[in-house]
Amino acid sequence: MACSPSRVREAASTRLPIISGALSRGTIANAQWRLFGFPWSSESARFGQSPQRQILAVPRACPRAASAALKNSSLISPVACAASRHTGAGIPFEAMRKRLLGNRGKPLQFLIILLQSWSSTLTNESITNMLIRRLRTISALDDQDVQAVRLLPVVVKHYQPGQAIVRDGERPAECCLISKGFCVRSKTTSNGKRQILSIHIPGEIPDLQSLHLHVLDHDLTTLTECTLGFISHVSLREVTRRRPNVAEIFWRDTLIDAALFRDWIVNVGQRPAPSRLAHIIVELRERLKVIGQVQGAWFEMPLTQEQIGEAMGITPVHANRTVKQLRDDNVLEFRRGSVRVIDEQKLLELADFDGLYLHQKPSL
Amino acid sequence: MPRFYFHIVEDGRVITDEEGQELIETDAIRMEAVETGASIARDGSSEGARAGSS
Repeated sequence: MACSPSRVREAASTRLPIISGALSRGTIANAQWRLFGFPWSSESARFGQSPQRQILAVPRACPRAASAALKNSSLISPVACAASRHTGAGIPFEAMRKRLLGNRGKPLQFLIILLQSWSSTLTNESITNMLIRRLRTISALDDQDVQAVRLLPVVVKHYQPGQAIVRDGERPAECCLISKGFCVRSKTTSNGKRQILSIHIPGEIPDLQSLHLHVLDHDLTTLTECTLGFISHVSLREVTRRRPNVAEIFWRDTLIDAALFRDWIVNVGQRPAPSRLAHIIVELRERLKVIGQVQGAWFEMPLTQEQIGEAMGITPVHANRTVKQLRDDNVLEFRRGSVRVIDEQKLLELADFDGLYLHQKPSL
Repeated sequence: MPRFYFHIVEDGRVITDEEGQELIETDAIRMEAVETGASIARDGSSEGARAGSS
């Protein structure tokens, strides 16, 4: 979430008593500071082992409580962060001390800066989390690569269902990282028939190709409400030049993208409708697993009857019949944008699924 | 725009359409029915071919 200066000011003023209390009561070396996980991850220096140096920590170390709070607000309350364990990287103690002392006369201004950095870092953290998780599954990403990806500047925007993100023929200057929600890529024929080419989930950058193919040759649209992080081509290019490994991983990611399309061509061209749907659903589940979004029996499959038809190259009425068939045959259960597998074996038989094309291991 | 619900009657079974589609021209409505019929028939033949070959 982008944090406007006014929001930061507002947050700074409402939370000022807590923080300024800590400020006035002690010096930097005071244990009070341990209550607050001030992030400053724009500096990549690591903490030393001494306990004193653990006073300032980045939110990466924040436990679940902090990230849960983050989902609902652009600023985490210091209380949530106070619960965090302080491990991980942060800025060297001396540098932080200089900053603190240098700003002693202007505590409010300093706090605003602190909160601003805090907020944006935390937001970045949650936006890039899924991406890193996914990239780590498909490739060998080292810690420095992870850090480089995490520090990419991201502009966060919220989208409604069915909203166009980038259209066929446009010349985007940024790539879109899905943080929350589902998107589809599609192409529409001159007589208005739409073919869905792929479904995209959090942690994916569906238009990464626009970094090198300058004019988009298809549409990218939201399927559900989405939180999207936009990363400029300039910063993506910079990071890929600075870190060739990141460039290779992004390259691999777009190649996997192409493998997915090949599989969809086979699916739409050669399988009967029930198999097509089974295949799409198994694929979606395997991809959702990587980002930890298959917990329990149900997982999200937020396509309407019409969109299922568009993904399978059949009419909505036929899509409806197919859904009903899988339901009546006790293969799958559908409920409000979610699906549950009833008969795993039947589903896999029907789907004719070999997950190799997803290349979900660095060795594949 | 009017919304049309295409129910399929098949082997004495009724598959109801709860979502429906917004269509305006009679031709488009007919096309939807014809295309659906053709596509179901194609499925039937490919399933039959598969069963026959195995």
